[in-house]
Amino acid sequence: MIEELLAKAHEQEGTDDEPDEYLIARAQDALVRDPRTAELELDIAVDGSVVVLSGAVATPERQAAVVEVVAKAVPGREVRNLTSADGPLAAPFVETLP
Amino acid sequence: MIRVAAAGDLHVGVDSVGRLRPLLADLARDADLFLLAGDLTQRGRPEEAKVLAAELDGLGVPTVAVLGNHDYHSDEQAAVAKVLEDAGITVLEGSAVVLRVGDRRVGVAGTKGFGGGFAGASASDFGEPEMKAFVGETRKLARRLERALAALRADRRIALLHYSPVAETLAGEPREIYPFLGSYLLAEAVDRSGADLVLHGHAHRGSPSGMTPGGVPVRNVAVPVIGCAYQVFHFDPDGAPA
Repeated sequence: MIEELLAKAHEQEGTDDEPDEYLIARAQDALVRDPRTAELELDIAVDGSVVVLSGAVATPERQAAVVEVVAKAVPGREVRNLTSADGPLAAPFVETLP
Repeated sequence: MIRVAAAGDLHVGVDSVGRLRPLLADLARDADLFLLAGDLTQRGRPEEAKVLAAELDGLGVPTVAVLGNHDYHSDEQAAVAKVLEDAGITVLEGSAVVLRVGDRRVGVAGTKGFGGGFAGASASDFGEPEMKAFVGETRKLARRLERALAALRADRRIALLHYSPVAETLAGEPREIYPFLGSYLLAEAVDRSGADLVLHGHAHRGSPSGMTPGGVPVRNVAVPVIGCAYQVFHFDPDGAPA
């Protein structure tokens, strides 16, 4: 009985009925756990049926990997990648302190 | 004049070979020392630390670092630190170093720090053992920082952290995660022992400038915040130290 109820609850994962909060949490957890990404700092939002990723990553390789990782964690959802991997500028900002 | 370059959150991985070095080409022209405010690696792997060490090799300025939470992720933080130390980078944790810049001495005391939040919305060492351990870790690291700073004899003293000592430099991050981004205990340690500057990273969406309740300038030098490879601080040679 309990197993049936749990199985039914898990069936909701990855469907349009799954609450956005849980979807975002699963995507975030996948980004942290996957060794190709290990990203804690990206923003994840749900826009209708689309999962939107934004923020900065350090390399183009990681930028490509974040989509793969999230797509696997939330199957059936489109993943839109708005992250950047531009890197910092070379010219430093200078501040004078007393 | 003392010129200090600083950056945090480099997040170097094995896919970072050759990316950092070109951005640091003028570092020796711009600064007398280079401070790294944690999250040096992406997953805390020694092979990532080797990539960083190669990128920093032969920079021409002394480099001092603290580790960040990413550098602890693989439970190989000691190996990460050793790779960096073997490459000539000083890695601080509850310790300090004094560097000579011309006829001046710059003291740097460092710790990764930890979380807990800020006055009015902070965790207490009360209740479950896990909560006591969480707050206890921050208290322990803050005490060590306080002692390391107090023992420094230098013309300028800098506290180098990964976690933030104030909420001000976290502005831009979701308030819900502030307790995971820093602790007032770190600011209290700085204010008790005194310092001329506090540097930290960790908060990629945070803000650049803040101040401890005791008036010590705090700067968030996470690369996504400063927008450049490093920020440079000039200390006025005629200014009074803390």
